Amino acid sequence: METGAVLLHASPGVYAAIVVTGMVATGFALGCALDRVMRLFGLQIDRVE
Amino acid sequence: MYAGSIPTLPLAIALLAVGFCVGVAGSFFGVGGAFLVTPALNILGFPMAYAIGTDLAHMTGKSIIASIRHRRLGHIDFRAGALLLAGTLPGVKFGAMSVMKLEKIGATELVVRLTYIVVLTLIGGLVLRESLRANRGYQRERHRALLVRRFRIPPLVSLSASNIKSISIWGIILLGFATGFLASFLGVGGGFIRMPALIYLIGMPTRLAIGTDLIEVVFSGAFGTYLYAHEGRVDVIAALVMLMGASVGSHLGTLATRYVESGRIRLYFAITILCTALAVTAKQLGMRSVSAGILLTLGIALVAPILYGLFKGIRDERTACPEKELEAT
Repeated sequence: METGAVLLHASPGVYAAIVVTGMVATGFALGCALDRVMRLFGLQIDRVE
Repeated sequence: MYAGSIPTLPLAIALLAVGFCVGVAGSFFGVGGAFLVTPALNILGFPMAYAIGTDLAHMTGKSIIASIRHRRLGHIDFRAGALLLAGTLPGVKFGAMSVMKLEKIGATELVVRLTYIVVLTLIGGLVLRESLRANRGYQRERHRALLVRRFRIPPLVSLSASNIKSISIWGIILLGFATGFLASFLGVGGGFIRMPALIYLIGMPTRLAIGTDLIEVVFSGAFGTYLYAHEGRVDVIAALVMLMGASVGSHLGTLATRYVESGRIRLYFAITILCTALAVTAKQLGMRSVSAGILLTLGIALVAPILYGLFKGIRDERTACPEKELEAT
């Protein structure tokens, strides 16, 4: 958190880019992980034709 | 509130709950849900700028989760999404410029809020009328979709995922521009404008409109997050906690689109939009607590029928094909 605050003051552009990338990466990781969990519970879904 | 402070346990639980509710509703309708989250965060003690920034950050992650799920379901028309984006970005810029112009004459608040109320009421009313007719067995009105498809300026493109044989590229870009302009002008993500526009003006099936719109929400959310994080107005820890709740919620909300009938999805959407118009009107009349109360009640009340539709659908499916379930186990 301290590092974040320092980075925000030193280089707000880099800090903002890291926040966006972090959110995208976390969303992607959570999406893939939950997908696997749902499959484990038999809630896998297929393409609807 | 400092950008990045660790929330207390009750606040963390409340953030998880808000994330879950908006995750269900957002991925079910294909919207970011900023109109629900921002007042909720504001009530939880976040100053408005932090509430918007934190909401945008969690919306980016949540939309990616929902997009992954919608992609697996075949609910995304990538070609339409890319063309829309080409129009959305200049539309957003043009909308922001218009707001700046209004700011100079000191009329931003009033004009933006009144436009918001008119747009919400118009969209909500039209979708409500059509979905009620659809639920009564009427065929969906196609003439508005034909209006955009009649716009035949080349090059033409086929959107096979949406089952649209030929449509002008300029028609889609223009639609993206108009929705981007309105979204930026009103200061929202724009999902609630784009989703019905894709259904009624392009003629896209409801489920594909939801999935395709979410791709747009990812980009607008990421862009907004960057701008707010640049000013230090994102509480990253709170956004991550909300994302945890939203990840589960958005999986369930996306799954529900498979089981809940399209006409009913549009009916729930219309009710949500009309309640939001009511809340904004209350805010305009100075009744801030009434406005926040309407939105919070709406957020909670929305989740129940969506989850009910999901679990009922799964139960019915399993009752109909018990042998398939046995295979799965």
